[in-house]
Amino acid sequence: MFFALVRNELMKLHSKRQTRYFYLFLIIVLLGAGFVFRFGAPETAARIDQMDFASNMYAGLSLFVTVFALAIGAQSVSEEYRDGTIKQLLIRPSSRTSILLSKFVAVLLVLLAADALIVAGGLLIGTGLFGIQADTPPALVLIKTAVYDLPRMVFLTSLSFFLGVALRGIGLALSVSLIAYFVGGLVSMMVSKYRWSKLLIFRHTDLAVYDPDPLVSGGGMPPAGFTLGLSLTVIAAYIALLLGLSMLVFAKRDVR
Amino acid sequence: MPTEETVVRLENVSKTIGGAEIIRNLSFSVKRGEIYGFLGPNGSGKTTTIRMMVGLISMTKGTITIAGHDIRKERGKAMAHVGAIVENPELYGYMSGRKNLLHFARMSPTPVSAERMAEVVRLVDLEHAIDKKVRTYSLGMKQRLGIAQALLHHPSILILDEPTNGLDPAGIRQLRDYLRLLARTERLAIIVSSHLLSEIELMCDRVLIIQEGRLVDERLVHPGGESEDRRLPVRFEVSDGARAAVLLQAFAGVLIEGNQVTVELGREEIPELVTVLTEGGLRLYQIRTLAPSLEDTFLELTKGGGV
Ligand SMILES: Nc1ncnc2c1ncn2[C@@H]1O[C@H](COP(=O)(O)OP(=O)(O)O)[C@@H](O)[C@H]1O
Ligand SMILES: [Mg+2]
Repeated sequence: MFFALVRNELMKLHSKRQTRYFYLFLIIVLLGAGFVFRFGAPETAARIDQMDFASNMYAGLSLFVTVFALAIGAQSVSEEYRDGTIKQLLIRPSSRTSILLSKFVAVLLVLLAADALIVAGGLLIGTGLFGIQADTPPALVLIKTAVYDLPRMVFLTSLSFFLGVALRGIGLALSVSLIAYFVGGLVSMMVSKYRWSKLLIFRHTDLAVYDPDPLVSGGGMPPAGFTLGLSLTVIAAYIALLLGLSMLVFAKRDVR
Repeated sequence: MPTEETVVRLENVSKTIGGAEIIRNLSFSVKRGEIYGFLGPNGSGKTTTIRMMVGLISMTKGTITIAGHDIRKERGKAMAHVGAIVENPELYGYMSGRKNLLHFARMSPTPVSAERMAEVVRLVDLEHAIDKKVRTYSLGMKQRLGIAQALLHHPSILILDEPTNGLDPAGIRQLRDYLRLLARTERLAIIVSSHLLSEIELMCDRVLIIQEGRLVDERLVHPGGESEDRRLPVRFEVSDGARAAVLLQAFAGVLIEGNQVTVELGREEIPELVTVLTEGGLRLYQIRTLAPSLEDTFLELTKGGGV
């Protein structure tokens, strides 16, 4: 039953032009950038390899993927309210909780698909156009980087999802979560001298620093007393809290 | 009097929003195969009641039972029996009619077969447009697709809130025929709300009149054999009112003004009384039941209610 609900949400997401166009946009940028570098700037092309291309594409496009995930997260529930379809959805035997959860899962699946697309696409196109050299780091480096980014993306998506449920509007939900996205790192730096800041999510979202491989961690070091386990626990707790709040708001509310 | 034929039952249902009591102590029940009209002026609480029945809003007091399941305790089981359109037929405009149906079919706890899907599409006459985006549908087509999605899972009760809004006369006529067919062939209970008396009269078997959230009246739309046990005031015009008073001493609730005699009677008691009067030597000029017609009741309340 839950699986059917997720399939429904995926069907709705993919029936909208925005989702299909977004995948198309990613593919076009990957191919476009690849061909422009390869044939438009041959000197540069001679100096770069598969990994240079793929990790640069990832760095740029993962921003778009995050923003897109935030947008569909904020939209998922609020759009059903706007169009009135929420009524058709809620007069079925499925509980409100499972409907809400299916929406969240569907948004995460799209996030994962888009993320996989930019990583795999970057590596494939990079290999095809620029090749692999003796000193090219293994593809695993980029894959690890992307995986370390995921918990933060999921957290931001759950924030945007919660705001979409609570505020029933896309604009404010998206803006607030975007602000959180952009200023999170700054805030965590500013408050890092306080002990309580250990519980602040933004001090835990950079998971790459825990990786022993300097190519992945970029030479960064975790703050004293921080472990991967602690960071993952804090992120999971925030996500659980936001989902719990979403369910509470959604399950109780009168739908008019 | 609930029986196993009763599909929906409301008992003393009330709803208060922000201190205002919008629905007050409403009780009624709907049987299988019956089209039940829910008639009231705009703002009388029809949509609010329907929203409570389908679990979109909570009730402040009372109990709603659907197919024997209390909607508060066994919401899922109760809702499995319900097909509804609340206010407008809101569907996903960016998907085809077929995908919309697939969406709702997947939400049914009992699997909906491809044949059933084709069957309801045929029933609502949408075969030619089912693969077009719903965005391109006319209101009538959306209404029909709305009915199709509500019927997919073989519900026991179909609830339609103001289904004729925005339909042209031909569309209304078509809807009426569908509903009659459904009630007869699928033994479906159907609740139709409307603020228009004429529609309810044409479509429904029984009607509840609601005003300011309160039940004002409930009756058969076309009273026939079934209304025998209903007691109504009957007025007789006789040749001698004083003599009638003597003859009718044994009867309760007799009111005599000149030659006008008014008595509360059940249907079967009318000929009895006629015999008493004529055998007592009186001549009868006129016999008339004084029950207000549906129209009288409705007009009276809509006048007072300020629509
Ligand atoms: N969310 C709400 N908050 C306050 N009052 C409401 C709300 N929804 C409906 N009402 C009031 O409840 C009454 C009944 O409304 P409604 O059920 O929509 O009537 P109908 O469907 O019969 O036209 C109206 O007076 C309306 O103003
Ligand atoms: Mg209404």
